[in-house]
Amino acid sequence: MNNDKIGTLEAISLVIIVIISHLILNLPNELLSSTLSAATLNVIYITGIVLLLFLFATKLFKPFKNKDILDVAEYVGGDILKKIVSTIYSLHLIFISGILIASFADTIKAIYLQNMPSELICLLFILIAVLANLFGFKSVSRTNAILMPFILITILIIFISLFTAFVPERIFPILGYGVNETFVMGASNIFAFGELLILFLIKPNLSDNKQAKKVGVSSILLSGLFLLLSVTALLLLFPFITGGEGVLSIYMITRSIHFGNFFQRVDALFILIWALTFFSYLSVVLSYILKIAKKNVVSKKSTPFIFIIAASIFIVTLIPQNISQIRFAENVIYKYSSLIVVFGLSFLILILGYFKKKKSEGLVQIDSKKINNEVSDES
Amino acid sequence: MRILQNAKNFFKNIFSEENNYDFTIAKEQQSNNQPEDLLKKQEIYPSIDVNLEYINARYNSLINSDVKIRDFTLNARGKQYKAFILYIDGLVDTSSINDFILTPLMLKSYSNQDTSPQVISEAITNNISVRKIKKFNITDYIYECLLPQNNIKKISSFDDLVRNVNSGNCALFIDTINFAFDIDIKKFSQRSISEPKNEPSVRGSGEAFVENLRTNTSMIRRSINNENLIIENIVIGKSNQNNCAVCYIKDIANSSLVAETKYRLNNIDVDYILSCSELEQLLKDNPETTLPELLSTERVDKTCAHLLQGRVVIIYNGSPYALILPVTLFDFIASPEDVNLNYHFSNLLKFIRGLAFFITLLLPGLYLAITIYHRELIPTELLYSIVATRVNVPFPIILEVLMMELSFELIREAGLRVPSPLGSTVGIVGALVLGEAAVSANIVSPILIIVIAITAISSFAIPDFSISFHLRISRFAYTILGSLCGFLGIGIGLFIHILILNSLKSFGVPYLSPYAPLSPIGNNSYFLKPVWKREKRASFLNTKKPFTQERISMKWREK
Repeated sequence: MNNDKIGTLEAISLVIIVIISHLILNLPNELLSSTLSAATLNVIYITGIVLLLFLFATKLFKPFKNKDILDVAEYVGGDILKKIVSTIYSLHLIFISGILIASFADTIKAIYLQNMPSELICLLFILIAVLANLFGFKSVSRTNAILMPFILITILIIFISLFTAFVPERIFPILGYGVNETFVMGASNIFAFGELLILFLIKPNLSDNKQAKKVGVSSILLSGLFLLLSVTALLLLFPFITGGEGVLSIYMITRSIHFGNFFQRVDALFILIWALTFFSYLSVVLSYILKIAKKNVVSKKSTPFIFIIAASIFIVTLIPQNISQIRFAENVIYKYSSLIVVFGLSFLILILGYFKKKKSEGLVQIDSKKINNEVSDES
Repeated sequence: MRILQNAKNFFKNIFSEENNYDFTIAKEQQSNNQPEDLLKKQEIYPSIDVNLEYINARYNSLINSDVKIRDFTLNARGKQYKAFILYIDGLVDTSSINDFILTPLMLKSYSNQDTSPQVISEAITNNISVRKIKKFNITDYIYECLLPQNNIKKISSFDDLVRNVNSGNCALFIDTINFAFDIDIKKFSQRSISEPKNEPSVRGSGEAFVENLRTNTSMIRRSINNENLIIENIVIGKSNQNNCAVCYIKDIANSSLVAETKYRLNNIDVDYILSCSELEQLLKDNPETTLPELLSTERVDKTCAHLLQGRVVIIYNGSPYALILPVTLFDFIASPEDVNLNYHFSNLLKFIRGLAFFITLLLPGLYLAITIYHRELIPTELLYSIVATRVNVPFPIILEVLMMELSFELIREAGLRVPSPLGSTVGIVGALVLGEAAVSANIVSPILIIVIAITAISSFAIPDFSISFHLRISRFAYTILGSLCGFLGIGIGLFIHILILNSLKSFGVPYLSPYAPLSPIGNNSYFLKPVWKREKRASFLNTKKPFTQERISMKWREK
């Protein structure tokens, strides 16, 4: 019996957390710098594209009940392709999570832990994720489901409390750099949903497999909504030029929040929530890398893999030498890696798998027709 | 080559299947009560002398002052038999022994001397009388005619008989009969039913459990008027074979839950258990955690409410507490007063208690995190006053907090251990005099006294003693984490805490049910619904009857 089955709400929370964590870092800044005042329009546009792509993927997944993308890869190209795809996915997730943690640790250090080495902060995050995975996937997903409403409410509070400070005129020109940059070049901003890779892996964990579509659509729409709120808040609050500062974009927004004359700086409170977000994010990603790894080996023992994967993520956090290298990895490498791995490789495998399945089903049908004809001829 | 081989073996070991086989040299069996073991598992002999010898040996009756053996000659229908009774002085009603056991058995009354056969039926046909006569059987005769007692059993095993005698019954042995009569004539001094001491309630029932098992079960039986209330007895312990009662309502409680409870109780292999707290520790799913996994209560009304919800209750003889299972975290923050008040008032109190829960857990840690790392959160004027009060304090703030926390724990422990009239004095001397003196001597700052006092008061608002302990221990962890990394540290603590809570189960029920995993809440949400809307039992209990009332319970409103 599989003990890793989770409910619909827990699954939605898992997917949202991995997307929202990018939102807390530099994602809104990146979207703003590529589309300027058309950022809000662009977010709605890319959410629509991702939703359509997901529905297309659901159609492609239809012949593979209870299977994830790795099972489809195995069906297409045997064990070798499964191992290659698993390695690519694992490397992608290890790299992205490592860079993200390095970025967050660097920001925490800049904000208030100046005397603590950022490597130590990264290590703390990774150790917590290791501990979480030692407790098991169910504990991780339930913890994540508990934290999720608080994280989303925090973003809502930020948006609402800054409502009076917004300058609506900053939304103009509505098309930013122009139609081409917003809708043609801007389509590449679907990388913001790069962590939807989890959606391709989550199917075997769902207690009700029919809910896979619901999980995907709900998580994409909710993530899109909160991405829209963050980008809009950033756009309407600051002149574009300041949006490019190297600090957490949402942290910048929270520094403007004050409740009366008594509480004038409440930004520190949000650090607590974001720290929880990143603990949750890293635990989820580690869980899924672990699942990928376990699918490719005979061993049923998880503990050594947890430590090996955690060590790999820690090594990645040590690669960037400075903040500009982190930003480059976060904005450029993550963007192209997501586009190639999540939206390229995954869809290629799904399309090949779909046609192979259809072909084999067709052959079976032809064979059965032939047999029927032969039987009728003989009679 | 050897290095390569070692490396290969190392990696092979890491990735190989977990091998649970762990050989250790078994210790020789040690027993200090072997003679008793040999005597056990013995059937009752037909010879009274052998039985007497056996009982003398088993009970050490030559040195045991309260074990009484009275031998006598039994008269039954003109015949005489050697017999003896066995009982423990102080546990039985001696006047009942005299009046209703010895008197009818020993005295030669007229009816008992009558040796004529017992006629069952008589028919006369053609002047020929046909009588159907009952064959004389001494055991039936004694059982039916000579022992005017309501609760008598025939027992053929010494083990069962001894267990019952130990609990206050009287055993009657008769020569030539290979079983004994077990006569229930218990009567012993016990504490009378009193008000709950540790779980007071303004409008709730004033009955609390006592140490006697049967009194406790009778109180439950009196409160729940339902023939489906089952009270099963299970014996626990080898040296001290004590009874515990498993109570549940047959047509409500989940059968597998009942079976699991009985399975665990039947598989406790200990010499003795003294209280239900020890039993609780032996029944926990996760014995290492500081979180309680069974709810302990002295209130009869609370126990009955949980039974009616479909839970199982364990009562241990000698302990004035009942154990309720399964439980969730939210059961420990519920007060017995909640159900007795209007739901608006209850929910206000529940909100305050929830707040107290977080203050108890987090306040010192948050104080440290804010004053060390996040000073910008504190409004400027307040910050000035905090800084001004701390100017003359020579210690680092973490040391100051830990000192105060430990002092407070010390006062609390001392207050509990001294005789009750002195308890309040310890509190006054400890908290007021020492606190005032410490501030005057610039050892601690006044603001810290306020923080610790609020934390302490909040901890008293938590209704359950066990969960309060857990919060006290966890608070130290949060204090250290807050001082090391500020809000990041508090975040680490919270995340690990939620993970632990999510990994726990109480008899198969996730500890944070019904919120994680999210399931239909029914009548088990943290905040109470109005009485007329408490239609469902908690879904995580999987009860046989999911509904507690009709959709419209106030039918009198319908026209």
